[in-house]
This record gives sequence, C-alpha cells and structure tokens, in this order.
Amino acid sequence: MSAAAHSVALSKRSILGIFRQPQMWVPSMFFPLFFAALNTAALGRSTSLPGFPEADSFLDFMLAATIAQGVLFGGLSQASEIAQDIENGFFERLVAAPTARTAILLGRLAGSAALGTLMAALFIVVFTLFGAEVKAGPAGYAWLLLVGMFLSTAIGSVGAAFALRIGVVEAVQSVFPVLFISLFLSSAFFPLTLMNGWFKAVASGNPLSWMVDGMRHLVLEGWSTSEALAAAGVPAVITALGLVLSLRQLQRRLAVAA
Amino acid sequence: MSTTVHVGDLTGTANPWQVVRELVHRNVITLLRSPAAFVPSVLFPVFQIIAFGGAFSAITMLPGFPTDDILNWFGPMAVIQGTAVLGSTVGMSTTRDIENGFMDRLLLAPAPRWTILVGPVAGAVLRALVPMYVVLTAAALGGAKLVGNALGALTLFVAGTGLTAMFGFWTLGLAFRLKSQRAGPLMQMPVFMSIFLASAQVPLAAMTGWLHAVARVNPMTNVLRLARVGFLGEVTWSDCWGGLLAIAVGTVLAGAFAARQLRSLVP
Repeated sequence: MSAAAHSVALSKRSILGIFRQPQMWVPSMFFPLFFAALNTAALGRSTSLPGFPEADSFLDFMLAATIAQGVLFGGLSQASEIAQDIENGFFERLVAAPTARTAILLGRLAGSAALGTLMAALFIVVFTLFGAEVKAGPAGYAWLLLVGMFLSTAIGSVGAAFALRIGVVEAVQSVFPVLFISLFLSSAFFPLTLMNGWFKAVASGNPLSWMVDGMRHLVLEGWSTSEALAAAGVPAVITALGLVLSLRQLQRRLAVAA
Repeated sequence: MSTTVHVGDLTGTANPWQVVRELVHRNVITLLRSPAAFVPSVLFPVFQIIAFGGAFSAITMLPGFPTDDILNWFGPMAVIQGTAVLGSTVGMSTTRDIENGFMDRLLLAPAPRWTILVGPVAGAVLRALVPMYVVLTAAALGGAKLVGNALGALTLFVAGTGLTAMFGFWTLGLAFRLKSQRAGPLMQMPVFMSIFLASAQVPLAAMTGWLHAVARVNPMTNVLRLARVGFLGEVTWSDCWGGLLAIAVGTVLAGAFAARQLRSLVP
C-alpha cells in the first residue's frame, strides 16, 4: 500500500470516530450556542450604538464568533485522540506495522478537518433557523465552512505537536486555557470600533480578531476577497506552523521508539 | 486527616461546635495544600473582569445603563461568581470524602449530624474571603469604586458569602445523593446558569426577548442588585431586600435539601 492509501485508511478511521463518538465533540457545541443566545438577548440593543457595524441583528454578529469558539474547542478533541492513541498503545502498533509515518499524522488531521466542517455547518444551520443570514450568499456559506475546516485543522496540528511531544491527553487539554484567553482577548464578541485602551490594542493585534472580522464581513456586509482571505489565511498559517511542529515531534517520537 | 476531636462528655457525644471548628479548619487547610482549587473561583473571575471589562466597555452607553464605568457593573458580578463557584466546591470535596471513605468515618463519629453540614459550608464561607479580596482588588485596580456609602461593601460581602453558603448546601445535597465526583459538572453548571440568566451582563431594561422574561423572575437578579448597589449609588432598602430574601430563602431550602439527602445517606 502507498502512503496515500495509508493516509486514506487512517483518515476514514478518524472520520468514523467522529460519528461513532459524538459525545467527544457535541458538548463543545453547547457553550458557544448558549453564549450566542445569551449575548443576542443581552446585548441585542448594542447594535444601535454609534460605531457598531451595520448588522440586521446581534445574532448575525455572533455567527462568526460562535463558529470560531465552537470549532476551536471542538478541534481539541481530535488532537486529544492522538494522545489517546499513544496512551492506549495504538500508536505503537501503527509504528510496528509497515505504516507510512506521515499517514499517522495526516489521518488524524483529516479527522480534524471533517469535524471543523461539520461543526461549522451545524452552527450555520442552527443560526439560520433563528433568522441569521450570510450576506455573501452561497459563496459566503461555503467560505465559512472552509474557515471552520482550516481552523479545526490548525488546532488539530498544534494539539498533535503537544500530543506527540508529551503523549498524555491532559497535556493536549492544557491548550484549552490558551485558546479560551486568546478568543476572549479578541474582537469575537464585540466590535473593535467600540473598544478602547490597552484591550483594543491587544484585540487589534490578535490574529483571531483578523479571522473573525473577516468571517463577520462575509456575514454582515457581503463578499470581499480580501476579508475572505484574511479569514482563511490566519488558520491556514497556523496549520502550516502546526504541521511543521507536529512532523518534527513525530520524527522525535519515532526516533525514541526506534 | 490527622485532626483529633475530643469527646466532650461521658455520654459519648463530641462538642458539636468543636466538630464544626475542626471541619472548618480542615476545609481551610485544603486551600493551603491545593491552591489550584482556587483557580475557578479566583482566576476565572479576574479574567472575566479583564475580558468583559475590556470588550464590553461601550455597553455603558446603552440608554438606562446605571453607571459609566463598566467595572462598577462587572466587578461585583465577578466577585459573587467567584464566591458562588467556591460554594460549589463544597459538594465536590464531599464526593471525594465519600469515595475515599472519610465520610463513613465522619458518620461513625459521635457528633451530631448537622455538624457534617455546617462545618464544610462554614469553612467555604471563610475561604470565600480570598476570592472576594482578590477579585475586588482586581476590579478596584481597573477602576471600580464604591460610589455610595460604605454599606455597599457590606451588601457585597453579604451577597458573596450568602451565595457561598447557598451553593455549598445545594452541592452538599447533590454530593450525598449522587456520591460520585462525576457529579462535578452538575454542581457547577447551576452556578453559571443562574448568574448568566440574570442581570449579569446588562440591566433588565437593556435586555430583549426571552432573557428579559427569565431574568425578571430569576432571584439571582435580586442578589446581583444587592451586590452592586454600593457601586451604582446610595444603598437603599428597596435595592437590598429582594437580594437578602433570595439568599435567605435559597440557603434555607438548600440546607433542607442537604439535610434530607444526608438522612437518606445513613441507613
């Protein structure tokens, strides 16, 4: 079997795992949806504040943030799976078998990509049921799914580096506070134009703000190639860095195993 | 536990207040041995002050918002969230005691049953001073200040410690009923839900739709009003009585629930 065939087989295993173990990622959808419902009702009137982006409703404003929040947290579950494979010995069996080494990593990342797309789709469906609309039309919906896929893969690749380095699930979960803090120190939940002081400076320089604002532009205003590229570019760059890191950690672990 | 409780008289019953004191002592010692337990009750509210205070500072421009400094709004909320979360840790540490057998030994001890309820909760109330002090200091550094008279500090203290006691009893009852550390999320979830489904983020007047309907009848809205009153203006009885009543009734009901579950724990 070729490396590509190994990757496909392991990708299938990861993707099947998503559908067989919904308890691994469905709970991570609850908090973002609750937070979206809460903020929409609590902060709904703030759309009339001077400086607030033109939005039909706060629900529209929250769509990008909810996808980002849900996929960020859900994506960690896939990264944890690598650590779990190491803990329960499956990784050792893969290494002992004539499996292409990169397929071990790529298989898991395919699972991350599928999970991110699925979660973004579910969030869009729920928001649409409550009246949200993506002004950029079908291209905008498709791009939001793409960003969800990239973002989950980004978290998966960084988490994979942690998992391969340390080999325990808890180590991967320890990334959670970093993600949580990064998201809340961004413009995910309120527009940059209405922030001030040091918080605005931090949020302005936070790449998650660039990503969420790009997604938000597609939802609130319509298609813009530069905004779409900003939205997808941030997770794409993180994915590239994560891949480099995780491949290095994979080589290191294989060297130790040998 | 290395603490020894001396039998108080020849009837074989320990002095109940001494038992309570020892259980409070044990509860406080837990803090010194595992300061990580303070993360959810101290660090999270401090982060919330930073994140909410920074991100949502402009919502004070909403019509009818009672202050122009967002930390006067979010500071007291973060304080009582910290103390409420700390109250929920009573139940979690009790499930640990049940699982490791300490509770069985406590039940065999010649002490009145009520001490098993009052001791851990009183310990948590004492520990609640830490999040109150740290979170309030963080809010004050960010600009929160008492604008009314000093009674405002007292109302915040009552609201904070009252919620510790209320959630302490509630989670004790859950611990006695479920007897497993897996009940942890069930203990913490009501804390967040009850606070965020009240006037945690904005005043009732600024809310819309379902949240307004829920927050209006949620007793936690009154507790939040009690906690914030000194930061928004002069302390008046009309701003306090609802919160005091909510805490008193909630604590009595939660205490009764805990006592009932404790009785069912003992054959």
